[in-house]
Amino acid sequence: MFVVYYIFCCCSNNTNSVFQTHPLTLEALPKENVYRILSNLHFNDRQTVSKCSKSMREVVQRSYLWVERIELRFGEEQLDTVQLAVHFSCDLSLNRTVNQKHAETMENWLSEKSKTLCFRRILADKLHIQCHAGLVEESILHEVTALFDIRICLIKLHKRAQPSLMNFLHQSKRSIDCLETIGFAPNPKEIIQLPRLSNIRLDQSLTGFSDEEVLDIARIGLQQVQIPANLSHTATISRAVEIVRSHKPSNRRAAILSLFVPIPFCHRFLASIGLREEGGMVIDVTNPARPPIPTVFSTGWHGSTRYFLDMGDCSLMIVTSRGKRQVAIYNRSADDRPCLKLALARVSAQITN
Amino acid sequence: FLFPIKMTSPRMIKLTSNDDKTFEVERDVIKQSVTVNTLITDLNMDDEDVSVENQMAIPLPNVDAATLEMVITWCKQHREDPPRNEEEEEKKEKRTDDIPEWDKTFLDVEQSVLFALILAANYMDIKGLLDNCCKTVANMIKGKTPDEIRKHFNIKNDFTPEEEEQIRKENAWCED
Repeated sequence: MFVVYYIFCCCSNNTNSVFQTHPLTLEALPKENVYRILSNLHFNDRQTVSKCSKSMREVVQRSYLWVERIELRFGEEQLDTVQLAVHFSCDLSLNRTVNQKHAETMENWLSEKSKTLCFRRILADKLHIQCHAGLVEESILHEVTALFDIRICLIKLHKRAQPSLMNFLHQSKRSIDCLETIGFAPNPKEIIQLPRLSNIRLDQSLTGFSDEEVLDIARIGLQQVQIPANLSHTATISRAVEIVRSHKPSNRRAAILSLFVPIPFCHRFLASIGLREEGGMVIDVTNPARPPIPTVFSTGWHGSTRYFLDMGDCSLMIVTSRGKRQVAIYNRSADDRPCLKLALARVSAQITN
Repeated sequence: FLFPIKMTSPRMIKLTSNDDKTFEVERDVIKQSVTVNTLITDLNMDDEDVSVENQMAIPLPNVDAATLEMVITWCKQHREDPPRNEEEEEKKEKRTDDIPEWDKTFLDVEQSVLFALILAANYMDIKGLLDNCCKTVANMIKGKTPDEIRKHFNIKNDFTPEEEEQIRKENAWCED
């Protein structure tokens, strides 16, 4: 008991020296208290505080929630409205002085600003555009994206929004990191005409791609292609791997071909290529010496959780143009998987050569 | 056989401020301070069979007597308040116009006293008091210009004109 008491007294005496005297100004308060005060203020008032002095400016800047990404959602009903969904992250040192309500306050503020087209810069480095449904006016897309001096990170494209958004993609001079499709697979011929597109993820819920479509997608030569896969595709995938790998270095944008495997097929699919998933790890059955590789789960559209196996590091499915190490892994896993033998042989031959 | 009768929780707790003034406060009142409450629990003081005269005082070296007296007064006023659910509090809409009238009057004090209360509430972990103090300060800031805030809180403007201009440029995107 006395030990606890002693520790309490000692700790109390050694706490922040600010406690020893009454602060006369707001600036002298410990930062965590100032954050708590600022957390009660809206953006404009915080901005005003930040203009008072250097130390206040620093505290205010640290008190902001940093916008992690912004989603522009185009509503189904009101085609001329744009909803901003702002995803915040915050400085961990702020602890509980920031909360969801602040995020909402900021979101409201941003929405208001976006309506009046006032703001020129935004505290974000990623812009996600999500077109759910309905016909999105191209002009709105141009207008909204013009507001953001940031790269377009991801466009989720719903089938019903396809025509206008595809036009937008063609006309926009912005580079787009990734195009995700929902409910449809765009015509590969159309995708290939989008020079500023780096990655494409096709709707995971679609498992009905024909082999030819899978191969067409592989031929596009994007940096990363994610396609849905099931057992029936095993042979096709090996062919797709081969195609991706065979792109000439000069025009090869594809570095990775990764696959989304819907849960119901996952274990069978893995088994078919000699892998086994166990406790969140993927084990190479044919090569027990190889360390297990963690798997990643991601939430799919339509509220379902899908098993996402990132083939980027572990699997036979991957073809990388980045060097021999990963390809060596590829080789090690070769063994006797007939469905991939051809592709593997080709890769081996290329390395050797 | 005679068994010692174990007393229930001591009704009074002694607290000593950093200027050596001792306060006796009801156990139920001071339980609002998480810091003190935890200490009482950890020291099994609730189980002790000692009179308040012989009880060891809990030192609060970061709180002076005047502030501690105010803290105790606040705790007495709020002793019937339902326990705070922090998760719920976090979810609640953040507002500064919901300070109870009694608290508004109670916190209508000099800034130095208010800041001392903030420090004490933070140290003693009394969330309700801390929240209301911070809201009171926030209300002092709201709607004021930088000059007014500086004057109100005695903040020295240490920006050079060039720096001010730079800030103006940086803020241009969000200024109305």
